[in-house]
Amino acid sequence: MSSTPQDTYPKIFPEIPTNALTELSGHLSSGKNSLIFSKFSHQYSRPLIAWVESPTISLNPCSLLRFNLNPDRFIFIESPLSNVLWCLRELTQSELFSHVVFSGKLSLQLRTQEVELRRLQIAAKTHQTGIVFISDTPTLTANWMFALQAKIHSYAPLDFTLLRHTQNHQTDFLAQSS
Amino acid sequence: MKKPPTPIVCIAFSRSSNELRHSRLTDLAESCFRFTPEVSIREGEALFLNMTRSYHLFQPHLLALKFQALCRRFELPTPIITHAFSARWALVLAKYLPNHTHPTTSPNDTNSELLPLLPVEAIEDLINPFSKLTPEAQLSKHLAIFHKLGIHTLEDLQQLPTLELVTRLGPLGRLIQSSLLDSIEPIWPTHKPPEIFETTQSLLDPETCGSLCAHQSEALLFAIKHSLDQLIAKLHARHLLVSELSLTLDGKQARTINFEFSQPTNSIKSLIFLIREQLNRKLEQEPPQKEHNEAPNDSLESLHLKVLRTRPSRSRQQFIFDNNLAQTESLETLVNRIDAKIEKNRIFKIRLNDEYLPEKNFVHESIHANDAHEKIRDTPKSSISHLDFPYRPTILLNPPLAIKKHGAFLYINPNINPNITPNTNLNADPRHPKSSLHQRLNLPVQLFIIQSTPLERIRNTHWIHHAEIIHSNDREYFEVHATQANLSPVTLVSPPTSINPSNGFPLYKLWILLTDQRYFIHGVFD
Repeated sequence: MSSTPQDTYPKIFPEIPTNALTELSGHLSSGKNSLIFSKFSHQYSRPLIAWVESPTISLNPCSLLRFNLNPDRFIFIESPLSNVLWCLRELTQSELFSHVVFSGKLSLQLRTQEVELRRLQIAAKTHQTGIVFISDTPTLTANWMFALQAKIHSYAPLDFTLLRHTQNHQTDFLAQSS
Repeated sequence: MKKPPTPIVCIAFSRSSNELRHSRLTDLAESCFRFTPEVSIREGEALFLNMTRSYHLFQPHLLALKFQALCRRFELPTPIITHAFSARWALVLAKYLPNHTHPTTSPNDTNSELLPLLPVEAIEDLINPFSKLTPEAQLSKHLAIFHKLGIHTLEDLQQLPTLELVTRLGPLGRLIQSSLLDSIEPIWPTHKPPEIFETTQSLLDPETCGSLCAHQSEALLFAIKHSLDQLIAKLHARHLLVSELSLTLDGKQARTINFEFSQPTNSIKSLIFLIREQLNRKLEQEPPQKEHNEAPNDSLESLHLKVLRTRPSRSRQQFIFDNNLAQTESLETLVNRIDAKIEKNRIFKIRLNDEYLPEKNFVHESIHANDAHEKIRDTPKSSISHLDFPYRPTILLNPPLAIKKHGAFLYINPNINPNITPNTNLNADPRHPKSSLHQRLNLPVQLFIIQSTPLERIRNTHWIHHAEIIHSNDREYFEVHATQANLSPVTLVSPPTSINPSNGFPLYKLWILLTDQRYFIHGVFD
């Protein structure tokens, strides 16, 4: 039996930004979902969180209670992969959610993935909503568009590799452009 | 001023006349507003006019002729027109004594004259003249008993002791007694014709002598927005929201498209988006027909927008310091847009149940934006605490993935031969029945069990969603720590704990279901 989430709150892990892109990757059972729930239970900017996922593999809502998270805070969207980007943009633009989470592999074409991620990045910044990707493998390793990108190895005890972490996202973009 | 003798007029039709349709009766009701605004309808049977204040304006014999002429105009059968002091007696006269030529002069002597002439069945109409109550089902069985007891007329019924009737029949007996004595007058349900919101716009351009085509959806949207602006302004003034809208495009290839919105709204921006999505989809499904291999000639002459269904909006005054109202409207818009783009009911909330079965302890609940924010505000934490639930995984598989256990190994594909070479990548095999689930899970085909911990046992229940294990009664759940087996089962002799997940082999924490000697992966601890 695992220890309770309260005992293992990942203080050393950076806060999930509420105005930028975040990606948590890790193999199945690495504890990336547990980590994000722990962070959400302590970060409370807006009450609602949007959770976009696949219909076949779904979040177990009862597990949210273990992290002292109210399931009423979550709004779930089952979206086919083809509409995920549109869905993320709409959810972000509504300005209703503190975070919009997509759990699954984002299938982007190599040529357009930077453009799409850049669009999401601008939307996140404009509408002050954090967009979080949870996937098995990183979309783009150490990409400048992510404010926080981490590879999770295990949750209890917490073991992760910080691929990228920046506080000031705007200056980072300017540095990248120059 | 002297009170008119018989202020209630009943225009009744025989129920057997099939041609009497509801729409015609409502048309007749609307035309009778010239006599009185107090008009009521008995569904498919009669019309009541309360002419207490206007009876003196018309001559009685001419009034009857006017009603008959109106009925002819609306292609209704010849009516029976009666006058009485109450709607119930006017109806009873029309149904049971149509040739009664001596209208009563005062309310009090109505009963005494008519009761011996009326059968006991008339009590149904006396109780329920407007067909708004539903005691008829109960009354029908009592009527047979009345006849057995020798009660054939209303007079016989009235002679029964009041106390006896109420004791035997309860509230129904009280209702019968009050109807016979005319002590309580039923509430008059005034007929209000439904408000129709529609607008028509010509699409013929006088300057270019041309017109829009159906396949020019973007240009068409500009025209629709113009009409929509007018409609929404009318609805907004009445505190109404649109639930269903109909768009008719008149032209060579006329078509009607209905738009149904899961969350009623009167936001133009939201409506235009929803209309564009559905219009494009409709035009893709049913493109304009071509004539003789030429370009499709689907020029439009006019468009007609009609609101089919509305819902009252919040009429309360807006609290300017309350931010929730704007948020609620945003959520309504969002739900509508996602419903229109993806599919209905793809956006939902979760409600927890007091059930132990993993597939039953929560249900999907459609989002009603009105209470979404209030629910969170009122109940900061769910009423069900984490102590009520056993330790369960963060990810559920729906349906569970069938696996095979052979010794210390788990085979993800149940059809796989345990003796074949491990590390076969079944994920790439599109013929695999669960290939999509496999790909999403990204699990290796063969797993080696490091540790297995029994978590819970659920007894005396059954699986309801998936027929393949419907006969099962008991369930056992285990938390299984497993890793990828890169060694052959024959050569692996080292103890399981020697496999280190940090050496490139991930450790999988699976929620394994054992039921009816079969194994399933039902969840993953992540």
